[in-house]
Amino acid sequence: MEMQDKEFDNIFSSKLNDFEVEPSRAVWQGINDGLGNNKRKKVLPFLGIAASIIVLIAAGIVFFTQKVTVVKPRVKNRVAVNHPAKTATAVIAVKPHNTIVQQSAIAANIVIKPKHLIKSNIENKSAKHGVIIQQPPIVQPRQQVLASATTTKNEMVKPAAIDTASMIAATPIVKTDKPATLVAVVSDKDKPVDTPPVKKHRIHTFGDMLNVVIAAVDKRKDKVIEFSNTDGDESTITGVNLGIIKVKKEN
Amino acid sequence: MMFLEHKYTIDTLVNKCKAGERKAQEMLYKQFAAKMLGVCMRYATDRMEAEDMLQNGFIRVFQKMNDYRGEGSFEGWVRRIMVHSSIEYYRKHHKMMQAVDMDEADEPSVNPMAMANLDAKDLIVLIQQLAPGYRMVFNLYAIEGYSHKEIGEIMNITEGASKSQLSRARTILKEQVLKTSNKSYGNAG
Repeated sequence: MEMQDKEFDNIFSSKLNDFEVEPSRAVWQGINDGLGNNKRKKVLPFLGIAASIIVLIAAGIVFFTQKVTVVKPRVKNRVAVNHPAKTATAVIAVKPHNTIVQQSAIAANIVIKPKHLIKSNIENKSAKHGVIIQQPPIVQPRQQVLASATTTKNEMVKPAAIDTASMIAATPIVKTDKPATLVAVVSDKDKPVDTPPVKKHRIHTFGDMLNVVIAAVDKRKDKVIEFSNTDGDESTITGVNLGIIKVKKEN
Repeated sequence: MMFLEHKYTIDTLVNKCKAGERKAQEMLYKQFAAKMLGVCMRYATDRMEAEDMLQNGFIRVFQKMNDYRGEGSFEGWVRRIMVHSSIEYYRKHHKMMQAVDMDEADEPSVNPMAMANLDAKDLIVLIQQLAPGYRMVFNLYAIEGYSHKEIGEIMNITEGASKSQLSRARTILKEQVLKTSNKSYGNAG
């Protein structure tokens, strides 16, 4: 019995209609990738690059703003803040009673440890043991301030106990009844007037800006790459430092 | 309505897939993957090609999920996408055989009893041995039910070329069926 074409097709159709084959696991992975469900993994490297660029720019901005805002006022602040403080201590230092000076100086060393009077600390110890002190008159008045504060509370001051040695030490203090000269001595140390003026580094060119950003990251003397800071229109590379290879164009 | 594990119906899964839920996509894929690979196997030369077709087909299913309006069965909709994915694959990877009208060769006569001994796997092997053009036309006409006109448009060939390719495909298949059945008979005897 011969089979018609239609019948032949139907046999194929019916037998293959329910034909099933289990696919491999790779197919679902491929579908997932195709749908972009694993996109995050691919995006991460780009995020990392973007983040590092932002950090670099932020570092550059911070560095730049520090130059402008911090460096300038530094000079003024020294004059405005430090100077009056020193003069104040100096002026007060002259006031204390001359009679209780030396005894209270010992108490002052115990109670208060001023960081800027370490020198006088040692000297006062020797004074305690009755050694004649040859100390500069500049330091003494400060001790008097501290001394006068402590002695009044503890009532440890005995004017009778003042020996000749201490009197010798005290003499210069009594005589330094010139606030004007003391102020001058203290303030001279930190007088900002003598400090050399800070050279302002302004950004004129694109090369300058790159130098600033690179300097924020690379703290070495010779940066990884340096650009010319001349006022020319084009910025040229003037130095490269790759660790082993160093090239620097001399100006 | 078909019920799946976790009490999800196909409709529920379809809605979840439309919302882009990855878990629902995976469940829906697992539900239809084996059956759809069976479809792709008929259009492919081997299993590897079939899996490529299946992968591309399912990507399109999930991308076009919003196009499914619930008219007709979802399985039928997925199946049509798989067929189109297979055609797309064929267009990309096989040169279109611009078959001209051929003189029909004498077709060998096949006894229906010989066909009864062959199972689906045997028939798949026979189809996969056909030249790509013959295989496409035979699948689209004999199994999917497309007309020669539609096949001509899909494959960019004339209607006559589609007819002659179908005829040639049938002849080859019948010869192969006879060979296979004779071999089976010989082994049995």
